[in-house]
Amino acid sequence: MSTWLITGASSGLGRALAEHVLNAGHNLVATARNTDSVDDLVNAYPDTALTTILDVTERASIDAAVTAAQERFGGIDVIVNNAGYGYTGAVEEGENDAVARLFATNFFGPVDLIKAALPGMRDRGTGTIINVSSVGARVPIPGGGYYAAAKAAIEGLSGSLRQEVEPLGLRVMVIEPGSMRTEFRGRSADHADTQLEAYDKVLGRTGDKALGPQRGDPAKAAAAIVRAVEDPEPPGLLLLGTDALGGFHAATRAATGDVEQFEHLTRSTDATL
Amino acid sequence: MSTWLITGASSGLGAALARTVLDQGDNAVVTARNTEHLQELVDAYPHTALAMALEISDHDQVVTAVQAGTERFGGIDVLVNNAGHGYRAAVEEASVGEVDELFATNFFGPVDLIKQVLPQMRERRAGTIINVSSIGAPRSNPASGYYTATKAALEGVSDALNREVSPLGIRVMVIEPGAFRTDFSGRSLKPSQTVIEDYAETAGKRRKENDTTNGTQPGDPARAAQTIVDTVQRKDAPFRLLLGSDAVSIVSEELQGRLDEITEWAPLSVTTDFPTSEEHA
Repeated sequence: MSTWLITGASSGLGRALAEHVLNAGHNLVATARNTDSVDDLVNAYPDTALTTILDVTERASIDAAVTAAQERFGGIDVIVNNAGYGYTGAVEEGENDAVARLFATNFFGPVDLIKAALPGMRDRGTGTIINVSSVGARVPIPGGGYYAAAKAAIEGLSGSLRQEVEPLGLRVMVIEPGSMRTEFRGRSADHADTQLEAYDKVLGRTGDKALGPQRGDPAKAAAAIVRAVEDPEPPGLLLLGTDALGGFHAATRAATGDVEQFEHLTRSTDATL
Repeated sequence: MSTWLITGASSGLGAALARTVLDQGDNAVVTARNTEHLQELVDAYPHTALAMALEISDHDQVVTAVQAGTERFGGIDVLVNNAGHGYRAAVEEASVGEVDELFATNFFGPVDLIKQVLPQMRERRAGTIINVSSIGAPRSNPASGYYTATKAALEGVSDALNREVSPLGIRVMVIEPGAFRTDFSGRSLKPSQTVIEDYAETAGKRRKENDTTNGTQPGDPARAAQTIVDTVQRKDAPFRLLLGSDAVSIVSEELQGRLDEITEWAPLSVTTDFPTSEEHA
């Protein structure tokens, strides 16, 4: 039995993961900005579920959640930085305040939670940090630049963090879901107020906006995450969904193509020996 | 003849690029936090070089630099977001203030500058935006988590931007230099104030005071500058250009390593889809 702390446990992938973890007999600190949406978990699992209010942009609420987990369950084994939301707008349309809020929730907040959990994990010489990113970090779509940037930032940071904490017995995993049948396109989406006509076409603001149903099943995604965490050698990066795999391969092919096609230019910049 | 705007033109790759551009007869708006360091360039090219003080995190200065360059030369054809600096700290060691400053300089500032040049580039249906990243973006190292985060963020925004503006005739490029013989590991590298003993063997070894690479980097900034200029002139310029043999091996290894891991875990990755309608039938 281990103790998990999941942010954004009120809906979507976070909610599915919370249910899966509790069902498997683990302890869970389920956090959300409003605990009304997670209180039913405590009713269903009174001995193993604890809910706390956590707004990742409020440092005090992060510290309070980590302390509460420590007191109730003796420490956190798995942190899941799942809370986050999307923001749509061309780069030129991005508003400073809105972009700052996006980074506060999708990057700086998760980093604060990691920093708050690390001393306890280092003390015990064990722990797993999971950062939920998106395949959108790897394959940015028009209008998704700032979201991709914040997710790419947390992925980049995770790579360094892994090398820093692995020798101390800790693990770091990045999850890149493809599209999931959650409210991500609804409740979890913000967009730029400014809309420049020049970008209407490329952002798909003209014509029919209907998107097909998302392929990803949050319950199955939750099961896959738990399986990866419980593996003796968990991956540093786990994709979820065939669309995520497709995106990954396309991005890798493009990157490899650029490297190979222009290798002669790349090598021309070495100092002469 | 084109007009370039190059940030961080007082030293390193930015200075080399400014000189190359001016040497071939192009105009250049060269910026630095302190214009004294640009005086030599302006003295050498009084008609084609314009020096502007630019602290990239200062929005008013960003607006002024673009306006002044546009008035003097009629427009900015190539923007090079080159200014930036490193920061060495374990993730846990970093202070909020230091990280905010790093993001302001390496990410939010460059984005601000891009937003300032885009309207005129859209109007002319022409222009090139070059964001100088680092091989530190695709490959993370201990102590470089925040630096990597800023560069990965810049690359993410660049990728989306490229898809948004290429239909409007504007090109976006990301440059990923390997190690170049500049003052990056010296003047351009800041360490965290906090040091945690547990990270001595990982992040600690890469802290500034333990850095031994300065002065022995394989890359030649002047050659890098020439390669950037040559690449911008090509019609088939890549979105991402690596600079330096070390960059090729590091990035190729990184791409292959990630591909191997993804392939190993693919059987689990594909278990999360809903059944397709065909499978229902």
